[in-house]
Amino acid sequence: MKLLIPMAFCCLTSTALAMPPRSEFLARAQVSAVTMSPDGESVAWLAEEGPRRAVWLRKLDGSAPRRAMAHTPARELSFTRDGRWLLLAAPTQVFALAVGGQGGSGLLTQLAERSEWRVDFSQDAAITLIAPSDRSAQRWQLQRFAVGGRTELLHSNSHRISGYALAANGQLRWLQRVEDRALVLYRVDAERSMHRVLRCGELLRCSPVFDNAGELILRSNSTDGDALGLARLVRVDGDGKIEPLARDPRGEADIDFVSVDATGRPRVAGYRSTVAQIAAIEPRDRRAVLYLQRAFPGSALRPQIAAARWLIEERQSARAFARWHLFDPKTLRISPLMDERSDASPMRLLKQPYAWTASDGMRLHGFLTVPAGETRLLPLVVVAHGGPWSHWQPTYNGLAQFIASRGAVVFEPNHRGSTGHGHAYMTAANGDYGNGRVQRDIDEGVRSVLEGGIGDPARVAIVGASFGGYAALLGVTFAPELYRAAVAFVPPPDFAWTLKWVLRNAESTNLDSVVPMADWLQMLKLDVRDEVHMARLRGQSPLANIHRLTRPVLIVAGGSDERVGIAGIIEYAARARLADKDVTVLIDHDAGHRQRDDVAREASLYLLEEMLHRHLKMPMPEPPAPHLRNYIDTMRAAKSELDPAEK
Amino acid sequence: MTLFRAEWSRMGTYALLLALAHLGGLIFLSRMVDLGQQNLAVHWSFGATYALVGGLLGFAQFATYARPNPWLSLIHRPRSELAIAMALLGAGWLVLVLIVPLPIALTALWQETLTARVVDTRHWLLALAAWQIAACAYCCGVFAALAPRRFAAIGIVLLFWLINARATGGSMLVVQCLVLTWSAWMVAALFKANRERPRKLAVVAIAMPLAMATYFAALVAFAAVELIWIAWGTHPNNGGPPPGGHNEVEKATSQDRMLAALASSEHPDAPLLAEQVKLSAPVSIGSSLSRLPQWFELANVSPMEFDDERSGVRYVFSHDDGRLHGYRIRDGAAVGTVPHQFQHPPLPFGRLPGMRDGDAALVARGRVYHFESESGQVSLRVDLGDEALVSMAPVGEAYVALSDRALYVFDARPFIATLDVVAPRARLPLPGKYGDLSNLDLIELVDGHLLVATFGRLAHDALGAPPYQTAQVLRSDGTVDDIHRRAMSYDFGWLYRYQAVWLSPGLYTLRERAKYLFAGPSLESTAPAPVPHAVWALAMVLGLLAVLLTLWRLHANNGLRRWPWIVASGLFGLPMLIALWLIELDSETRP
Repeated sequence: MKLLIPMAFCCLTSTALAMPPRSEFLARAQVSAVTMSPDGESVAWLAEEGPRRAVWLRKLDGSAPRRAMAHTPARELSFTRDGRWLLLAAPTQVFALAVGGQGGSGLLTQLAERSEWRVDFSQDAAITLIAPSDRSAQRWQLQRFAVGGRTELLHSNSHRISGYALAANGQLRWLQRVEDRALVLYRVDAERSMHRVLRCGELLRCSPVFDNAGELILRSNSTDGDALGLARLVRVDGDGKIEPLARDPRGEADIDFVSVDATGRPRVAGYRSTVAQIAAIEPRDRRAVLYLQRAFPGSALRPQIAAARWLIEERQSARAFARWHLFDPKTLRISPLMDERSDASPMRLLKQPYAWTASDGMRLHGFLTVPAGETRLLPLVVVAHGGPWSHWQPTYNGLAQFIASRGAVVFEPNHRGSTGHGHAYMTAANGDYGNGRVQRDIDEGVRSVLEGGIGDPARVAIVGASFGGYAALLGVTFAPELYRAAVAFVPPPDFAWTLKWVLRNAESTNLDSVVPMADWLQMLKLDVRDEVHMARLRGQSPLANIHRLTRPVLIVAGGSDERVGIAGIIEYAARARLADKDVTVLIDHDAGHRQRDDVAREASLYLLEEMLHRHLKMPMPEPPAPHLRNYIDTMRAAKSELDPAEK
Repeated sequence: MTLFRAEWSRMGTYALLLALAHLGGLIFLSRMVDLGQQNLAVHWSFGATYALVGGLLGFAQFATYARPNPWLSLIHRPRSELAIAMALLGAGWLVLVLIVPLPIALTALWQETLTARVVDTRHWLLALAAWQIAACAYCCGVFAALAPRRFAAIGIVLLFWLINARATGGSMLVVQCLVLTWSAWMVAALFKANRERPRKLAVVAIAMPLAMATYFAALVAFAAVELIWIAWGTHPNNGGPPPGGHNEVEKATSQDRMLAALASSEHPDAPLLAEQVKLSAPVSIGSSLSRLPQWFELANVSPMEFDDERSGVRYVFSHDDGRLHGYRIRDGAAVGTVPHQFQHPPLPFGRLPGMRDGDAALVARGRVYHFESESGQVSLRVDLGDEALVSMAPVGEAYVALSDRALYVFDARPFIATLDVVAPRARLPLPGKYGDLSNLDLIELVDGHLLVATFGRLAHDALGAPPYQTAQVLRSDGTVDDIHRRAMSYDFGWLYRYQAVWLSPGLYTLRERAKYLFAGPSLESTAPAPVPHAVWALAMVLGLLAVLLTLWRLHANNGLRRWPWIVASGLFGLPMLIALWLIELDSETRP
């Protein structure tokens, strides 16, 4: 492995800190969905107020914020183009709240499953909605709902509608449909005739973003002209001719988001796979974007572009909560708007990108968080991500920060199969999610870090949640010489069975993309109907190889997990107990895939700390409060020597 | 006719007041609830009230005649005794028409003509059923007034028959008619100058209920002894039940039941399965239905209606057209009929995966339907053929349905992704009769489910199967691995379990036959264990004893009078002997 980072890495990233309490890592954001009106004169946000969520509104003329609605189920906020209506979107409905002094607030539309809505930038106050016409989804409709009650059918078809772009006059100009598992893009002429323009094959995306006077701005990850298949913006004319528009300047990240102005025109692209950066799409914004990058070095920025000013959301990898600023692109003046937790002590352990080359030559990406100390002597904890179709970003990761705050180097690998680094990167796993290529990527990344003089090879542990937990179990089962211990949160001990299991259940409908989950799994070379492949994955699973386990394992699971069947974890624990393995299992029978209860979350952190203290000689954790001890004792399913209280 | 008019004028005013009170009560209740959709318990309450009114009326009417002098002046008229009886009974029955069915019919007429509520033919027939109940009780009241005190109360046996009968709808009306006929026959048997001795042939009308009443009294006495036993503290139900018995398993948690079923297994997977049970939170599948709804049944197993809360509409099932009829909850205005015609009466039944606000699941025997509020349509989602679905519950992320013959596992996704009929992924035939099933516990495994069925619901009774547990693994591909079958021991000896049999096999058989007379399909079917030889031996000894005592009791009578009693005692045992004793008691006291 090639050493890719300097030995003095620690000095760039960290300063000595006292160990923050666990409670620091349990705090939740109380403010969300901060959004700016198109004229830039108002800002609205959602605030958690005890059991309720309220809508707040603030005029930027010096007025004090006011609570516009005391109780809402909404999770998203958007202003209409004219700024007179604030749209409150909950999972099942969109509500229009009058904020321009007029009356008429009310339900705009119900949202059925699989429906998608967005603000219609061609109208003063309207949204567009893609939804199946009924539950059987024999037909799909694209409709416009104007505030006030007028509804207009823009298109209806038996094929699923997956994208569209409207002309400035509100007419449907571009339409994308799902045909035979591919996305097919059509140009719609004035007579509403459709002309096929592009076909994006399996796992390729070509999402319409904006109609620029007959020319379409498209988000694409096609490998035509881009060997990595990075998600990027391109221009498409009516004949299907493609020209590049915006791509990661570093050539390693997908576009993470696109900021549009009040007409829907994309102005700024954001990248967050290795280094958080934003880039101007049009020359007129280059100066402003450059200024922002310099003003907030190392921060992940997300601008909202309004006529008078921009709203900037700032996130740091070492800080749990976002900050919001107002920015005048003409004067380049930045003024603070909101800081939810200005009193919170920052962790100050910055995350740095780290790249290594796998044994087959593929360049892989990840992140390192290095605390103060002699780097060679620090314990190293690998935190594998879930999914596996997701990726670590250069933003705050509470688990990584918690471990780093206890004095360990944290390595967050984005193994092949991860998203965020292009189509080729994601598909390179080739379905090898057992003790195979993907797991080797993680192991080789760890060895690369160790060879770089970071971390003590005798004090390495692997931690993860969901697929990351599976990777942790795989690592400790098949590479005990590398990992001293594993901590797995909600892990599938048999990935093949878990895929089959989830496909049978309600959760799979949440995981369906524009094509059903079974189809996109097949495109990712994970065909659950391929018995040979499934048998191979099963044969390589931690569940089938528990007899090889020689290292201690801690598993924390939810008994009502809708994504990872608890039966797999229970069988793993039962087999471990019969084989007298050092496996401790904590099952909260009321918890799902995501643990939302603060006591349970703190219990997870405490047990993780305890495990790392015991096996990696990290600091002894602060003793649990009685309620925490009681919870742990109640939930513990398989006992071991892990916990001193067991002795 | 004069006597009839005199009786009518004697009771008319009170009857009118009672009828008005009844009508007022029905109107008041109808303002609050839809009386046509009340469950069986409510119908029983109304039936008991009507029986009480009928019984009191009959007793009060005839008590005035039952003293010697009024009785003689009544009976010694230039008319036959039965004509006099019919005049009095006819007046009483007519009074009951005014008190009971007329207000019911008027209420039904109001509901039918002025509201959108469903009024079916069966609701009109409720008036007839109510009258028959009241008339039966009336006859029993009359009998109580006329009969010697020692067997005056035996009419209660006939009323118990009405309560226990499993017939429904028109069949139940026939059963009521039989009971009414029998009770009238009982009155006729004593409607003579000397009420101490029934008419010769009509003695059967009194002897059979009297024997049955004696039989029940003996069973009640056994129960009283058992209560004393419990109070004494040595009964198997006191404290910890005997180890290895069915009581121990029934009182255990789901987890312990499953572990008990696996404990003595030598199957190689048993230790691993037991460990998994210890770590799991087992689900116990209970029955949501005790009885199946029947076409044109007079009462309801449970209300045949549900509320679509999204649109504020209540849907009610009509037996007449097999469809759901809707009316607005807010103002009661009709909103139309759902086009789907059901093949069996449906009942609201929990929820199915993917249901939205206002949707409802309906079960109709082996079929589960999804009522979709938004479209107002009904879709068939589960079809188990001619099996009767009794429960459906989520187990983990899957759905498990229990019928009277098998357990089914369904995937949740097809319920959400489509509106088609969802085929079960796996089926496990019940390893026993549903009527014997006391518990069904299961956990999800990586490749299926572990199911532990406990059969012992009636192990304390002659009707139940010998208690046992089965542990089976139902694989995802539908195959079944039998892990273990564990026989449990009885907690009660045969003397206790078969008390209803050895006391009188004949009356026991008669009781069970009467219970299911004209009844439709039942969920109570069991696989009774063969009756032990000791029970038959004891029954035969008691029968023989009854015959010998009958012979001794009737040694002075001629053969024509003696032999029917001897045969009856042979068939029905000691209770019939006691009936004989009570009926013939006066012959001992006569000079």
